[in-house]
Amino acid sequence: MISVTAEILNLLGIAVLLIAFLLLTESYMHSLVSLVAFQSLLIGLIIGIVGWEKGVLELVILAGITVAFRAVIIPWILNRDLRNERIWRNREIRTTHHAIVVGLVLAVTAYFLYVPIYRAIGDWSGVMAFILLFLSFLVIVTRRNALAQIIGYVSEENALLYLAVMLTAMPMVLEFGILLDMIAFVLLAVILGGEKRYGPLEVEELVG
Amino acid sequence: MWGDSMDQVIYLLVLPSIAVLIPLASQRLGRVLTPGLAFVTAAASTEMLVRGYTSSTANLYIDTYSLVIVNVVAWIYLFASLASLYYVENVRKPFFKPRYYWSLLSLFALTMIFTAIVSNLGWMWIGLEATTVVSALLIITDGKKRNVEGAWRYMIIASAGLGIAFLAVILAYSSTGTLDVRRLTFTPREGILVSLLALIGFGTKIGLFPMHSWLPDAHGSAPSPVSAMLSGTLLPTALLVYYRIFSASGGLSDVPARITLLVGVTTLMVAAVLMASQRFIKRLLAYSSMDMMGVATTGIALSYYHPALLRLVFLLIAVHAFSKGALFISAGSMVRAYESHEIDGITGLLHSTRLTGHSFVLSALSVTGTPPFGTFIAELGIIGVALSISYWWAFFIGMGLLLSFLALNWHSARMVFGESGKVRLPLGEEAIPFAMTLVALGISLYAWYLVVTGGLVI
Repeated sequence: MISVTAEILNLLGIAVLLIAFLLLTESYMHSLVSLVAFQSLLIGLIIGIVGWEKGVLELVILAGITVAFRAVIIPWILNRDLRNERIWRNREIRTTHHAIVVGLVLAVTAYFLYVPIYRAIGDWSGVMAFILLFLSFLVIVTRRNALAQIIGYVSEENALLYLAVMLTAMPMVLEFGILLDMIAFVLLAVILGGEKRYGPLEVEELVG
Repeated sequence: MWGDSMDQVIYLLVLPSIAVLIPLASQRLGRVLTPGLAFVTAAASTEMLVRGYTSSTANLYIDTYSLVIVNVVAWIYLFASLASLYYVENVRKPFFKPRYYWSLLSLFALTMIFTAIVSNLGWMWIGLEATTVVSALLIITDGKKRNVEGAWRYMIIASAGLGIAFLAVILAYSSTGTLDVRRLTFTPREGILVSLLALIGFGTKIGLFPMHSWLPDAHGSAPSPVSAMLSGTLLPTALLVYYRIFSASGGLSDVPARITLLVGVTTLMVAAVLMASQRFIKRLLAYSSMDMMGVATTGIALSYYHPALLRLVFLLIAVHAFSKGALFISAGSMVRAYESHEIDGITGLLHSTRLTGHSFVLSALSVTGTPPFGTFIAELGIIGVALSISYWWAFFIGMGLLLSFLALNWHSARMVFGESGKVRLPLGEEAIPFAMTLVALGISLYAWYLVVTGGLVI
């Protein structure tokens, strides 16, 4: 791979990681949606560049799907729902303020957890995606609100595809991407349908 | 490329696909035809198992173990669709129209059969991920708040777990250059890494200990026919996928086997302890499924030391599927008849509903490994092999089995005996779990026959 491309990919990767940290601490729903849309856009760019560089048509299509679904359609659905529900307008969703510290510790831990993977396959290029995966899990765990957890899920999906694209030119990555998007849509349908019936769902209220 | 037997395998996928499409056109036709199509699928799969069918083509890999899973899926699908005839009538405020329920039920069976017969690790992952979506939708059929929350927790945790499993798939590909389970060959280091990630990832779907927290919510809030399929068939399907990776990564190092053993025994112990203190009947049964998956995982781990044990593990899975299905379906009828989710609210089953009472007692004994059921043979084999490794493993497995036996049968006795309530169920509804119990008994008797004639010696 040409080194300029590699540098661009690294820069985009760092931007994606920074957005993941913002996802951990942002307290307004609207900004959260915009952030995850921007992150998906960057991931789409990364996948597109890698696909272009390697000349794999599948990856270019995957990049298009990523941008279309996760940077445009899902944020649009979420935003439409937020506009209809007045409660969201100025409502702060709870986030733990030490989340960023936990996130930093987790990122460093993930970096060291990648070492055994490096020893097995001898490739460092997946490390940023690996860290992003852990940060996305943290978003899902620390957020209590169901819509914010969907954001975490979309970020996790980004991380998985990012990892798959960086490590190998795996077959079927397009199918994986489409399936992951379908799950995101089902999650959205379930949670929006549920909220229409019962109001905002908070995980703490889960009954046994 | 395809052998001449290809036409037969295709039925296993085509028949459920037809059953997926018909209800979309007409709900009434779907109601009538779904059990019929399920029966034909099940009969075809049993015929293949009896004939000793195996197949290994470019995209399919079917051995006896996948056929056992396919059989279990197809038969439980048949019984679940029969039980759904009674269930669907009683849903008051459904989340979506009943026709989608019928369609999704068939799709659920289809995705599991697909997962069991493909040869490619990536397609297995896709199949399992698809089961998550479909079963989560089935869980919210009732449209109550607890269903939505159970389905939500299930989807979030299961898809996070399958994310880790995806990592295992990526690493398997980047270290071996193939995703075909027959050609996966790892170095010891890669083998440990991939099988550990797969244990965490697919273990979430199996319901193994630290990742099990979705299981009681999902199984407890799903419609009873769906609970039967979740417990009896989905967990073993995920276990089969894990077994494929486990058997590829073993051979050079026993670390994966030891870790799997540890996780399996821990799951068994934790579930056994939690079972004793349950208040709600379906959550109790969900913990019992977790318990049995702990036993099965232990068996898979021990098969590294003693490969013949695998047949007993799959015997355990088959008997457990039918017994647990009977338990869940009768529990669903009882919950509706007694209008109580709690174990305390249900008494005197043997007097009020004789058939359901009998099948409940027998199935509870079956899933806790009581002779004459096949689970007893399997658990005996597992303890026997564990003894040859270390007395401590055998001790912990034995303790777990004993605890779960006491817990489940104590709760079952509380419901079955006592004063009789004024409760009646339609005979057809009572007959379904009873038939499932009889099937479990039949499989067990056949297993004993094999033991006596020397066909199942380990």
